[in-house]
Amino acid sequence: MPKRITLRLIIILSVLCCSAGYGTIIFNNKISSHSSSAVPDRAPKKVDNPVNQVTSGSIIYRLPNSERLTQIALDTTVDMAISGIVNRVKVEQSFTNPSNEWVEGVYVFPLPENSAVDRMTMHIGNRILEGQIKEREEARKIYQAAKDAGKKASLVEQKRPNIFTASVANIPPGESITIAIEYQQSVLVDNDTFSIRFPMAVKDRYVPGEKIATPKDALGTSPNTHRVTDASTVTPPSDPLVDRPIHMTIHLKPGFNTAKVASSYHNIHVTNEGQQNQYINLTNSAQLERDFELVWTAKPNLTPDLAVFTQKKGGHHYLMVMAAPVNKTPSHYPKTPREVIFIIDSSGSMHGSSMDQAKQALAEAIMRLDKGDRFNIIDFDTQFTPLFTEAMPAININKKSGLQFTKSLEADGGTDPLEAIKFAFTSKKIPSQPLLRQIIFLTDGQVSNEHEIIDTVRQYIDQDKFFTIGIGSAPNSYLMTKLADYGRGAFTYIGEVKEVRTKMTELFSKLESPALTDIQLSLPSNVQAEQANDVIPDLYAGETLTAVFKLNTLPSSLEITGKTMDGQYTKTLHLRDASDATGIDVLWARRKIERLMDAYNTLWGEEEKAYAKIPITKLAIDYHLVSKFTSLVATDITPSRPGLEHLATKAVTNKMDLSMFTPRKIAYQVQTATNSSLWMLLGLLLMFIAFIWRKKGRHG
Amino acid sequence: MARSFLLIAGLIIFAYGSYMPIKAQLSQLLIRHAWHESTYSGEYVKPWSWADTYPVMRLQAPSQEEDLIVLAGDTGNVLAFGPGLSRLTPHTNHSSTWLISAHRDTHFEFLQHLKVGDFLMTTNLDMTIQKFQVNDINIIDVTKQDIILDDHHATLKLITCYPFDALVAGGPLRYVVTAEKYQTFLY
Repeated sequence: MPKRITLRLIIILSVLCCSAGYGTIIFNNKISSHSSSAVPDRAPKKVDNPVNQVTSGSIIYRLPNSERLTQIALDTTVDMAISGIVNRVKVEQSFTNPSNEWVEGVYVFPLPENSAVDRMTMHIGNRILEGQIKEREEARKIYQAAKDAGKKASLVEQKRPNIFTASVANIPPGESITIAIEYQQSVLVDNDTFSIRFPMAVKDRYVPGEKIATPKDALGTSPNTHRVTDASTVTPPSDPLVDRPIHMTIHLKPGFNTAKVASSYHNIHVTNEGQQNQYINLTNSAQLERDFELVWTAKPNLTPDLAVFTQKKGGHHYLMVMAAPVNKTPSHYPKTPREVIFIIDSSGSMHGSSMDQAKQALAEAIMRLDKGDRFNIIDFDTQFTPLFTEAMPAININKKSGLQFTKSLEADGGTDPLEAIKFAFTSKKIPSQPLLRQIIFLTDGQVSNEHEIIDTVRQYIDQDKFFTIGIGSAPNSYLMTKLADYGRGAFTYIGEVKEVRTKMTELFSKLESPALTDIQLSLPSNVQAEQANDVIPDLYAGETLTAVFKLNTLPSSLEITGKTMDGQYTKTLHLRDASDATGIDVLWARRKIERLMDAYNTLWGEEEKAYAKIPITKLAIDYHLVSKFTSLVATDITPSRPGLEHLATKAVTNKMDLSMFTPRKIAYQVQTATNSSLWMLLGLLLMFIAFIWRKKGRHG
Repeated sequence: MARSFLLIAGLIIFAYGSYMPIKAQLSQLLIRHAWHESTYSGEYVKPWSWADTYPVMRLQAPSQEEDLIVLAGDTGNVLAFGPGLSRLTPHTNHSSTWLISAHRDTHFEFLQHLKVGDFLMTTNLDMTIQKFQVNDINIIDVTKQDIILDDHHATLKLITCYPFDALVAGGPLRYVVTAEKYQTFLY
């Protein structure tokens, strides 16, 4: 019960019951406060609140010790060296502590999903401490012990294949600690285009499920849930005001004369250093909240359709083969009738330009459907809404309602595609003639339950194909790539509205052309080889096959077999012009771990999981790689924090992505006052006059 | 004759004026009852059968000993009974702005005594308790400025009319208390 109202009611009642004297008190109190001497002690004394004197637009207070001011400053320097198809990257993170207490900084950051993190060093003054690869729990213990002992320490852990956490303990007040994380990745090759991506920020990810117990010291913005049991570790806080600058330099040695070197979304400066050597830097170090992408192409006729790299290390040979076995020429086959199911994400994270891109892409796709095709659209956020209960023929009237449906989509709610995907798989009739069923999933993939989704697609896929279209400034490409792999489809990335048409055309040529399926690679029988990925995803026209082997001796040829519309496909590759490279061993191990992790993720039993964990951990430790089960840890020898000083743990806030959404502005039209005081006063005034009148009448 | 007419007219006008705050207080009892039922059943419960609103959350200001039940919607007929949560900011979205309005002369009278650094608590129907800290108090002219809703940040915006002691309703100024999420308690 608001005190002042209660008091006022009491006064009003006492006015009515007792004397009229109090009426003037209210009068005094309400209208003029200069005659406060007339206020008896029992009446409420109105303290004049300073807020009543301020005019529109001014800010009265701001929190002096706001979290924003005591933020840990973080500066990132990225140094890439691209040599052939291997990209070696060094990410230096400098944690600066502006506060006057000892601080532990915990930073959640993204790396490309195919990155093999194999080195971490901690820089204190002139000293460099090398990080050791340890089993995850052991690494945690070492870090915790050093942290408790007041020693400087750092720990790099993998939370998702594309999300990592760096913890740095005991940063002295006003000082900084730098850690350098190194990883390696293979360059992406698609349709004669070479590219690398570097993610700039972890986006707010949707966490589905019921809340479960979350550690009290968790630093994430979301609690753990029964569907995402580690949600609190992958949802870092974000703030639009923090500055997280990224400086980037790239040394590009593609191994051929380039026709074009360009960044898709950022401004870069390219300097030629010799014929096949370029130096590139990002012109603006302010963190741009979207993935960085560098694309380069070879001069015409220089693109090799086969590239072979070898490395000899520790008594083993490593071999990496890249080939484009399927011709890019459009298919000459009559088109098979298709059933295309679109699943479109209209969750809150799609708000803004992403939704526009998705809508345009979808509209483009609907327009391209043939009369003989069937289609359906499923819109999802927290729930899902299908356009039709099952796919309908792509005749004009249905296409029109499809376009209407697309147009009316609005981005809000959570990102929970699971039920929508299940519906897409299950809402099919047994057709009279065989249809090629393709499911196209348009999303930014800002989910935290990747494995649940991947597992669903793996279970339901059957003969269907699953294609993913990544939308927006920083889609979850780990999720998209994996879904497309399991779904025997392809992943297309659309980063800007102006790319929609070309990318959709590209995708449609893939959808319409038959793929090379059931791909097998075989080596001469005298060679003992261990292939990193024994399952090779289906290849569409122009797509490049990449395979990495660990062998006892180098073979002279390699045979690719598979199935096409024509039947059996066989091609022999002669591995003559192999070039020596470094880092193939790391790529091999990283791919092998990924393959083993895929198998691990399909297991349910605790015992089976524990068993499957062993070879992964061993491989990761042998090759010094960070994985789900292994982390890099570095600790200082001497303690620096005095034992009695408190250590505060702070999540390093990510820069909030403002490109994805504009804060909603609304004109406020709610009437938040009544005239009750006015009416009450008026009533009292009238009664008072009547009272005086009577008094006067008596005297007269 | 004229005197007693004046007295009766005064009484009627006074009663009319006091009807609003009394209604506002009494209805909170029924609303509170509906809220408890709602937290028990997990479903929306109307405080009385013909009501066009239902409780969606509980709002507490410990420093002012305030404990209010927030209703769905912020139209005039809702605000007569209690603070209202704007339909533009659904209570189910925990990581966005919640825009709550109430009358300056009834439920949100306490806003003028809130200070930066004060805590506010909300309890949702699913019994999640969130603690917010006031970090900004602002006065805006609604004819010139918009209210900014951040859809990606747990924020509480409490709005009422300003100045607090204005006699006549309908001015363009609004008193906006913004509080940012401080902590979430889970049960």
